[in-house]
Amino acid sequence: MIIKYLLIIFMVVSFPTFLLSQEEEEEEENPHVEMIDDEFVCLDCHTDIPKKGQTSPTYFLVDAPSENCLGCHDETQHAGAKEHEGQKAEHLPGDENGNIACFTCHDPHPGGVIEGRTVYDAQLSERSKKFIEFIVVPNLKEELGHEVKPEFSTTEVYLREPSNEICITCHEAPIKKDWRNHPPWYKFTDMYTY
Amino acid sequence: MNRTIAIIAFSILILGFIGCRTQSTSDGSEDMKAKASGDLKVNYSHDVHKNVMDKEEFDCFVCHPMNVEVEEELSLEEMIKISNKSFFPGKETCHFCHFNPQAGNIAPNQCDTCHINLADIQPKNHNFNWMSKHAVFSKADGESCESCHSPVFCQDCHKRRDLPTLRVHDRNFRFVHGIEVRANPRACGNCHQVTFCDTCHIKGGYDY
Repeated sequence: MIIKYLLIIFMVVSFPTFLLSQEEEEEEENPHVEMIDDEFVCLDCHTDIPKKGQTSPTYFLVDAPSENCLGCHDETQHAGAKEHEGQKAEHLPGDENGNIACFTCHDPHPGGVIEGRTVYDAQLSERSKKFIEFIVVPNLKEELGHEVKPEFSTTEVYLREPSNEICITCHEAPIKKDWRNHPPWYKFTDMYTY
Repeated sequence: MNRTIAIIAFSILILGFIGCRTQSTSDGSEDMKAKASGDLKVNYSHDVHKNVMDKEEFDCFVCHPMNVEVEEELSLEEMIKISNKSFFPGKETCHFCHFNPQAGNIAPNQCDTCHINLADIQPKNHNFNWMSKHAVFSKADGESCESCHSPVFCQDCHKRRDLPTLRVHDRNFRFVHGIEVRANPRACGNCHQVTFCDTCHIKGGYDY
């Protein structure tokens, strides 16, 4: 009899805990990964599930393109992000003003979601890792006094081009204009809105 | 007469052409040799480094790191500071390949590639008679020496038998030193005091 009561008490106590843990797990879900299997995740960012061929200068986003990613991500998600903000996205998709936004370099859609679209992981050479670990991080701690650490994960960054090429697309184009015939940003609306 | 006028006109044309070329070259910052000591914007050329970066398969992040994570809640201003300092680390970026006494250099290590006036980067205590004073400083704070010199730099003099010809003077330096003294007297002062010169030139030489 006592065991029966103990069991009931245990279930009453543990059930909310179980529900809470489920909730936490749900919060940690990554919509960029979820959209591979669940097309309704598209509605997290888009006003409608864009059909193939549909285009819009705002990419059918729920917020202004420049603001859309900031619902979940920080403005300073990674070093260098702010340094690019406001620059003209001449060779890759840009925001409502044609300026660089998160999705200029990162495709929010992982591979397989949009037909014919390939996305890339970042590549980090051993020398880069050493430079960050032995020089950049200690200097940041010493000069600015904040706790920083190296972050070497390179997957799930969904780059539109392989690491170096995504930089070269804009940074080398002024030097080698014929390196690749990149159409102006607004012509990407055909390719990047569905 | 006509021939003279033609020659003068041709000369003016040629001189004008040379003048234009000179001006256009001096305007192109990529082609310029370093002008300002330690000024990265003037001294660094992406074009010059492109081939070696490709060859070594370095990514752009080797100079512009993005991979740092902040472990505390900070204001946007602070985050921007960290971002900027990480993305443009400054001279440490150059020094990591060109001047790295701890790990070794993988790129040419001539300091004057960027530092035109070497006196700017020379520590203040490396002045007159430094050669005889340096032992005290190196024993007191060896790490300070290693921030610029690799251990080989010490060994070159202290361990090798051919030291006089290696880092100091050639064997016949006594006969030609007058030329170098007049060219750069300060260089002598790095090791010798003025009394060292006086010993021969005024008093009549050393007692060997």
